Amino acid sequence: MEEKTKKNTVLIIEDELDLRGLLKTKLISEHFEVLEADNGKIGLDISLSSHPDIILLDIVMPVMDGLAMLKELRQDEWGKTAKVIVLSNLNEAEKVSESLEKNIYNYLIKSDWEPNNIVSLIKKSLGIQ
Amino acid sequence: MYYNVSNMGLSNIVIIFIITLSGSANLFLAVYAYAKNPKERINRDFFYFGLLVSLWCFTNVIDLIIRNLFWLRATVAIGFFIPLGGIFFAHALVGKTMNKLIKILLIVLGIIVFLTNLFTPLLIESLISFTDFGFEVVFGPLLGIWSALEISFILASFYIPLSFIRTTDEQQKRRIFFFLVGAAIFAIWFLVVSVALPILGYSQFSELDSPASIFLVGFTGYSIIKYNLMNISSLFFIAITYSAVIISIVAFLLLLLFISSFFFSHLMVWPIYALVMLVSLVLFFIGRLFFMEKKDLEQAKISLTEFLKKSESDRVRAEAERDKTAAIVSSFSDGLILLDYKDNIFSINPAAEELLGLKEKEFIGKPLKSIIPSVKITKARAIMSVFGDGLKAIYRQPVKLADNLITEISVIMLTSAGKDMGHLIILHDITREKMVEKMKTDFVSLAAHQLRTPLSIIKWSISMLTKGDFGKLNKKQDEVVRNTFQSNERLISLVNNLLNVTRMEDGRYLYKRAKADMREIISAVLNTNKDEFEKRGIIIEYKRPVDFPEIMIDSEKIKIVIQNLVDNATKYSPRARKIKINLQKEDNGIRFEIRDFGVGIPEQQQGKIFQKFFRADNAVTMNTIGTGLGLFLSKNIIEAHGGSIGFKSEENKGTAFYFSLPIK
Repeated sequence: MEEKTKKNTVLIIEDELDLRGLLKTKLISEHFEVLEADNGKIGLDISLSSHPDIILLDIVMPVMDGLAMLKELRQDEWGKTAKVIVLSNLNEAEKVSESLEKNIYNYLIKSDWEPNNIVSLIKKSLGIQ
Repeated sequence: MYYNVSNMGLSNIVIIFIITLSGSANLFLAVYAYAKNPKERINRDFFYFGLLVSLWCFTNVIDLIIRNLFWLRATVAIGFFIPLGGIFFAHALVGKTMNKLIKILLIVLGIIVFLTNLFTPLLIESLISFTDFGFEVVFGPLLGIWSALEISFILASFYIPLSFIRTTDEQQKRRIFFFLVGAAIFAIWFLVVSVALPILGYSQFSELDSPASIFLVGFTGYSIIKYNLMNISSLFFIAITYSAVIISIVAFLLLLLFISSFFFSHLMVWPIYALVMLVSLVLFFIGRLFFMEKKDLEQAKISLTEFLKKSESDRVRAEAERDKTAAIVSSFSDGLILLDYKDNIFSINPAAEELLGLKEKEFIGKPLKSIIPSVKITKARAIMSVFGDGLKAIYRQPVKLADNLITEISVIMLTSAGKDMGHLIILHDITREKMVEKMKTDFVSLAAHQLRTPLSIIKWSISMLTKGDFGKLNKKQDEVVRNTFQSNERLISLVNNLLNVTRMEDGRYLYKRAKADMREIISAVLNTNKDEFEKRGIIIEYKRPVDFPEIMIDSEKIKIVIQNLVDNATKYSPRARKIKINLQKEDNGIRFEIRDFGVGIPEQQQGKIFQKFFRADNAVTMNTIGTGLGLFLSKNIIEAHGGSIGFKSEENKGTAFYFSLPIK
């Protein structure tokens, strides 16, 4: 019972509503608690206030993009070690290496991944499976 | 009257022949010179002179045949006109006009002497007998005067050209010289046999004078051919002259044969003969020395002048060439730095000055490295990166000189006939092209990103539908949705390839090599395509090797290659059920091969298979989705890894693609 109450929280920072909705549906069905943000700025605020277990981060977003958000996050004491999976449709090698340098858990190309695989990866990263 | 043709000896016939030949040659030369250029005074006067000589020769011939006092007198009488004509011609030869009064006086004198000789016994009183080469006569009281006139006229005719020779130009001197030599031999001969000897009482061989006119013709002909005397030289003339000379020599040798018997019986003639020859030779060599020494000097002078003229014109031409080259170099839109064979700066054109921000004049003759302290640090660093270890031939190497300045640098070795002439450095500004290229790439990236987002939504939606996240689908629904998913996958793959090609061409396709296990990559690709294989009923025959070396590769890129090859093998095996994959270790590398038993590649199209956007006819007609980018991309990736890719294919039998990669 205790495990049930201690649900893992996933923050989805994604401006594309459809993608966010699909992921949310999938994660909820997999018993995750889901937080949402539609740009980097909101995402950063939620991250720092709610300390989610893992952050799924898009890169190309209005207001504040994913890389800027990541940079800010790493300034924070908690944020330094926060688990981040970048989920983007950019696979520019430079962008990849730029975010890899910021110590992210993984960098996924959205169109190469299916939601169930993403969930598997999240579980793996959280040590659930 | 001694009219004795029947008793004519062979020697007479020979001498008649020679005189006829000599007269004809003189006549020919005279007429030829006149016909060639009748307006020229020298030609005209030569014509008269030659006519006179030939007339004399022919009279002599008649005299030798008829042999009577009249023709003997006629011959001697006409003979007097020759030195007279010589004076006239001598003037023409040096281009001097004669005093009219003297002219008339000479003509009158000539006519008087001629008439006196012909019709009075004052010179030749009576004829005693004819000899083989002359006659025995009783001379009249005029012999002394006649001889004096004859000698003075001959001397005068030589004095005139010799006294004027200093004022004429060298070319003319040379022309005259040979004519004078011929004339001198003729004159000396004449003076000896027809003047000196008769005075001494030997007139037996005075008929030998006219054959000597052949010398006149010979030397004049030589001068015409060699120095274009009278401007009448031509091939025809050369041919005629040479043949005449050859005939004359032969005839003269024959004559000498006959004369020799005569000479043996008249021993005292020998020294005279020798003297004539000696004087002629001395005259010839003195004259030659006089003319030729000058000639050599003059020749040297002329050569030098011509050389100077030529080098001057060469210089002018070279300067014009240089100016033209300089104009091209300076107006060239590319920056050009020309280095000499020591690799010192020879020239920097304005475009290069502008690109590097320096002035040509400060660096002429200095080594290339001397420009380093004068250019901005970024430019200096860029230049050093290219030329740091000395110059070597490079072709269009992109170098970023500044933030907004990218050039392609080429270094060309300049050689001429295998000799090192230096280097040419070309700086081609490609900033604008790079900018446009970047815009294009950015656009494609953005477009691809924008395409991927809806594709991702479709993919995720369908994936969740098939996984039952939105409730269980019935069999038909499931099938439709799965097909949709596969089509969507193809679209994603197309977009991925398009993006990869764009980046690769942009030079942003970075290869991050790390140790990787090929077996893992292959398994991952096969795993991804599992559904597709199942759907098409394809069986993969692949024996995963145990113990396989790790190799230094960019796994992601190699994965793209294998994915493309697997994808092709699957797509183009509509009926076949088997795909064989083989991975093996080779010397210093690995080899991957994938073999299908599908449609194959038509033979005539095999050469184009790695070209961008190329798709074989049978592939197009199969209605499969493809961009013609997969193999182009694969080849580039493999080659960037230092490997090689190839294939073997037979239409309707199948295709085997293979690539090798080095371990390091």
